[in-house]
Amino acid sequence: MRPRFLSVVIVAIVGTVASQSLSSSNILASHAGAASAPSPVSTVAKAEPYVAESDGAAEVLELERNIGAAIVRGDAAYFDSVTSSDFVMVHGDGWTTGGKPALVDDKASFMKRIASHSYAAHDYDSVNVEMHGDVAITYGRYVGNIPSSGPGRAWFSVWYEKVYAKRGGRWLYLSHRTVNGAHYGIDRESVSHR
Amino acid sequence: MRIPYVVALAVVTVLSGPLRIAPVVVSGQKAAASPPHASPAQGADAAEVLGLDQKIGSAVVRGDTAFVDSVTPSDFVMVHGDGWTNGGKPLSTDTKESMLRRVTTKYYDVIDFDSVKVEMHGDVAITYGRYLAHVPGSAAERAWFAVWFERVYAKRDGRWIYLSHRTVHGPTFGADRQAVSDK
Repeated sequence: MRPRFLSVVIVAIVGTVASQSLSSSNILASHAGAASAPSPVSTVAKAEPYVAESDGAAEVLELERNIGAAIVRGDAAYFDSVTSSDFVMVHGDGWTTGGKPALVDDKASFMKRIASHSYAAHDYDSVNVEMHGDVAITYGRYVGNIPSSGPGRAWFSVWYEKVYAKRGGRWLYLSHRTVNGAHYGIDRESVSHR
Repeated sequence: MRIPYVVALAVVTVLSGPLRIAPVVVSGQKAAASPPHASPAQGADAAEVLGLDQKIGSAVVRGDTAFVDSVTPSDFVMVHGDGWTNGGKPLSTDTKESMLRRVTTKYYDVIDFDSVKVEMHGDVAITYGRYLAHVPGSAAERAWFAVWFERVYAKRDGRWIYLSHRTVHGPTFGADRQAVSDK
């Protein structure tokens, strides 16, 4: 039996969440043209509306978007409430060839980044989910902006694999691993096709 | 630096007391500033999971379909090729059924893991590392290959179940083991 792969077009979802105060949604909407551009992103972003094949998949994708929004608004409490105590975030794809990642955050260190409003943008534009009952794996890309980064590195794009688990009836975010990137640039446009 | 699987496993075995290791990343990898506490039970699970990749790989090579069937769920997914890591398509995607067919037909005659680490999250485990493999009957220059991967396991009814494999780098092909052993 074919696994429940769900191809997702965040651009299509933006319309349904545009009313939220989610800056990422607005930015995505303004960046909708990227979906039809001849870029790696366009190969995953299909021009069809997203239809959740299961409630679990829809919940996980909504959670992922909500976490991105919480990161930008500095809502460490929300992040705390939806992540496991042993949360791990591996930055940089060095580990994918046996090297060291650029950085490894645990829950406490990443919450500090959120509380200090490190991220000014954290926008998903290609997300897919692979469901395994009470475990979900998402993979895709986001474009981020950390204004305090050095010249030429404030904007970046990251391809990732994340893992979630449903515990006590709620989905929890366990792990992020960058599988390609980060790719840096001076502005959103310079990283939006990488 | 690549840490051989045996070394990673040794680290887990030695640290059998209350562990204070990287954010539950069992290996020599640099940890975050405030690593959470990992219980002794978690250490035992980590050791078990670290051995599972090779155990399953060995079963695949000997054509032990029953064993591989017993440690994979009906919604098992194996994504071959790293094309998905930049939004492209993978080389192919196996379901449980198609993967078991490869086992039954002894599609692989070598699968050797040499760098495996594990990130523990209670009843969910993530392994990542590399294996070298050989597919008999392939074109000579593509008979051997190296793959870096991320895998996800879940403990269900007291047993670790292999849910997902995604290639994060490769495959990198070569004519012999030596040609791919540093890829």
